[in-house]
Amino acid sequence: MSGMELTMTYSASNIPETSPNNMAKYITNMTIAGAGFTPIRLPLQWNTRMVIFTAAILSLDNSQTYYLNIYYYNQPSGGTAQWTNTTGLNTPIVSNPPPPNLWSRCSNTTVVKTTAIGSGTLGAGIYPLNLGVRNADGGSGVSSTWIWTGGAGTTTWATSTNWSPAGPPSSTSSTNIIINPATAQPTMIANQLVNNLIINPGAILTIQVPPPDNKRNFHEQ
Amino acid sequence: MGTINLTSGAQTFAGFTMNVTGTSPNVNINGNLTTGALTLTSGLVNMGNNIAIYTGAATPMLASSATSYFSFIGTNSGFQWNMPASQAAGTYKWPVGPAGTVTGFRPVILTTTGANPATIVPVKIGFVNEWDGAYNDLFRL
Repeated sequence: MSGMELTMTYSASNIPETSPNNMAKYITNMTIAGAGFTPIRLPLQWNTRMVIFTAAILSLDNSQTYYLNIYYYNQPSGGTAQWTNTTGLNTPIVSNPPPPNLWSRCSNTTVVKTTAIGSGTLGAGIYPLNLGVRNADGGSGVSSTWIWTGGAGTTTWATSTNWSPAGPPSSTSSTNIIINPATAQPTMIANQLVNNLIINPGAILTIQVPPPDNKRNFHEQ
Repeated sequence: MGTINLTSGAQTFAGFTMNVTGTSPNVNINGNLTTGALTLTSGLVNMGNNIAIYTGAATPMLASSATSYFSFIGTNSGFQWNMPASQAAGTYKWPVGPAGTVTGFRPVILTTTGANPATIVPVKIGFVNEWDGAYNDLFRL
């Protein structure tokens, strides 16, 4: 699978494969549509077929450098959005521990985190998760990244509920926009400044030609 | 086995049983699937970027295997259990795995601390590829 990417950025659906990142090649999305859900333990499993982590003696001790852990994409309503190590939030439980050196084969190993993404009730939302040893996401301002969800079921760019967090995106040189596939895909009809624009596989962005007497520009920086 | 196309209006089943054997047993589903009963005996159900919705009770959420599960890839994808109102606290396994760069059984188990509220709580687990860079074989999980 490939996508149109202007620059490699961290997002809810992407972790750049650049050193020192060291993680699974898939992201697990947990989507909660109702209220009052109270998970406490969240295991992720890998079935290793080959070499998985390089140049590391993998540890399950979270005080060590190479610690296999569950990361989640924390996107609060304000502050910093960031892939976040669950270390420190809870007591890890690991079943079927892998051998200390994972250059060898192992299988059906499960990493379990208690209260992996919080100890209380989870609100409705999408909670991306990833297994990894290292993740160098420095974080980005929440207000600078918007993800198209098509939640309103319309193509209208300006509709707040078509975006996560609620939009529409601001029009600044630091704005990052991610277009995800959805039943309704966005149509851009107004000026929009953007820093990074990612159109994920299967997604469609329509840029509508403005009327001649009201020319608009699409800025990409 | 081949592909089943589910068009709008024909996507809801009273029950769904997967019991396909032989070499590379699997079935591809085009479209979202909703079922009130679920049995995974043998074979993979490849859903792609679609949604499998299970509206039944907890029992099928307790068992699945590396030889029979739902595979997904895509930001819309996932196995969605519409957890019944007042569903008791317990440990529930979503029978899922990715079908992208990495394939295989990757179940997600959630243990809830208390009963659900008096409303249905849909919880969906799906997968997307991590897709840039060139470290390919060093990152397979």
